[in-house]
Amino acid sequence: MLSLKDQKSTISSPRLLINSARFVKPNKTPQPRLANFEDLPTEILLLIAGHLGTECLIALAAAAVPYGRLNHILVQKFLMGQHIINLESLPRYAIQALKHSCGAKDLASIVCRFTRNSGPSLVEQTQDIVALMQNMEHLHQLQIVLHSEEAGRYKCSALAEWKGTIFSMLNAIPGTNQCRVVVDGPPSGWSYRERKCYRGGA
Amino acid sequence: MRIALSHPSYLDIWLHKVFKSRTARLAAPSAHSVGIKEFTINSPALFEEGIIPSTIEVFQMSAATLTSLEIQEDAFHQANSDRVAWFLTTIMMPNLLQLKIVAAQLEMGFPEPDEHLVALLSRHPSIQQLHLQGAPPFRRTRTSQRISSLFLAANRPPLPNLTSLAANPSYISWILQHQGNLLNPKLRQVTLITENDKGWPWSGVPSKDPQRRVPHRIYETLLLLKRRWSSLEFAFQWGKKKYMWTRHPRIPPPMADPPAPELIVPFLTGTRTLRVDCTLACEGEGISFGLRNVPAFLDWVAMLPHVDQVEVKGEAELRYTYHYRGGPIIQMTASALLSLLRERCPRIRTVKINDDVATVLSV
Repeated sequence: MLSLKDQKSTISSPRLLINSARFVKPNKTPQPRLANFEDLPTEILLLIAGHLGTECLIALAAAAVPYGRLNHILVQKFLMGQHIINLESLPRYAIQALKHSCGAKDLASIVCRFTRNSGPSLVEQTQDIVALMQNMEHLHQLQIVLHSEEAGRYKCSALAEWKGTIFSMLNAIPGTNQCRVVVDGPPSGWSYRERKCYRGGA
Repeated sequence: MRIALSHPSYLDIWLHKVFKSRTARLAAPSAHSVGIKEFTINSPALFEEGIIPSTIEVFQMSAATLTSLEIQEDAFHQANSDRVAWFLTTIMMPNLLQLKIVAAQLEMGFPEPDEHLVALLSRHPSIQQLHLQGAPPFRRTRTSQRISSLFLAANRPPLPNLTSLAANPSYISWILQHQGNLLNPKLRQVTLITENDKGWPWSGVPSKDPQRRVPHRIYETLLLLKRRWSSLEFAFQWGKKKYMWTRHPRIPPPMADPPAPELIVPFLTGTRTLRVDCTLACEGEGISFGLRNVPAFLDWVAMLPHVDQVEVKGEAELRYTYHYRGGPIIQMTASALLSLLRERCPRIRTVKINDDVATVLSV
């Protein structure tokens, strides 16, 4: 029977080497392990992120806010291919994830649609939205759309509720930007009655 | 919210005194700057009570960077005229290059220059491209109506940097009667926006006041233009059904207001290029050269004695079709239009429909 030493010397294929590994005594010194998830190479992180859905990805990015590099990589992956960000359609934690990322400075275009559904959420997140916008060094288009799908008295008070957020957003555009701002709404297809309601019954 | 106000100019004081308007005060630039370069307002929301001070404040903060302001028709819809006037006469953008105001088209008359517009334009001599379509809904006081013409005659805004002017003939006439504007060598392109869907650009809207008749304004404007223009651009609602009837031999034009511009147009001897812009007024509508309006268009081009280039601009997805001499409806191409035009006007050498170009050599 060959000794282990002799066996090693005759092994040429890696497969055999693997098979023979069980004969090797385990090393008592512990193998170096990853300090944390963030130490993974960027390529591997992007590979993992590629298997996550958009919501998972942005949720993970929000959870990774204390880990700057990880947050940034995940946000970058999220922004990949997204030229326009619709603020109202993002999950609540997405703005948290974005505002802490230095990737936010690469955002070029934002659409923010104030509706009956999205309005209250956007108003609640005013501080975060302002912080996000202050980081956007390359923002060149901001579109604010003001409308509600439903007719009625809601429209009368909606504008007063949204006012603070709308103007906070406008005032947060960095002074060095060359931004184009478009304020739309109510949509031109609205009837006179709807427009009248929108204007507070004037 | 408090808006800082600088010392008002003589014009501001006069406006305030005569029109009893709070709009005469001028907003001073703010210390905090916002990086807005272009602003498009397409919502009346920004002119709402309680909102407008914030709107003005944003304009103050971006005064240094703002180069373009566009106010679309929806912004004026049911908007309070006093607040709109307050906005237009309070904002100050020292680097403004482009100003576009699109207001509702008037059905019973034509827009006359307004004292609020005078204040806005007088404060912005930096404007290079000016587009005035329709009239913002200003409410005139009795005093302002009485002295309006005197005021307007005395306060034509000098626009020394103007390169392109697109407006109703009444605005063009008013602006170009300032000698500096008329002789401004930078101004190369003038677009007549007639805002009239009742016929050709010079088919008038009934008005008892001869000064307000469209032909009068067209006449006045063309006389001014004839003095120096080498390129003249017309923009009007080409392709609507009513145009088809205007020049039909069996049906007289709906309005025959003298003096006929046909008498003036041939004197535009410097005009070599005619541009017909269909994009301004035909949104969402097809542009068609129908059985009757192809010959009408040929008649119209034939009036310009030295034009050798015709350019038609429309929306990309629109198809140009014509039904000529009983033939089938086919897509109108530049070469087809060139052939038709050359039958009437042999001097035409180039026709362009959007990006489709045909020259005499290519036919």
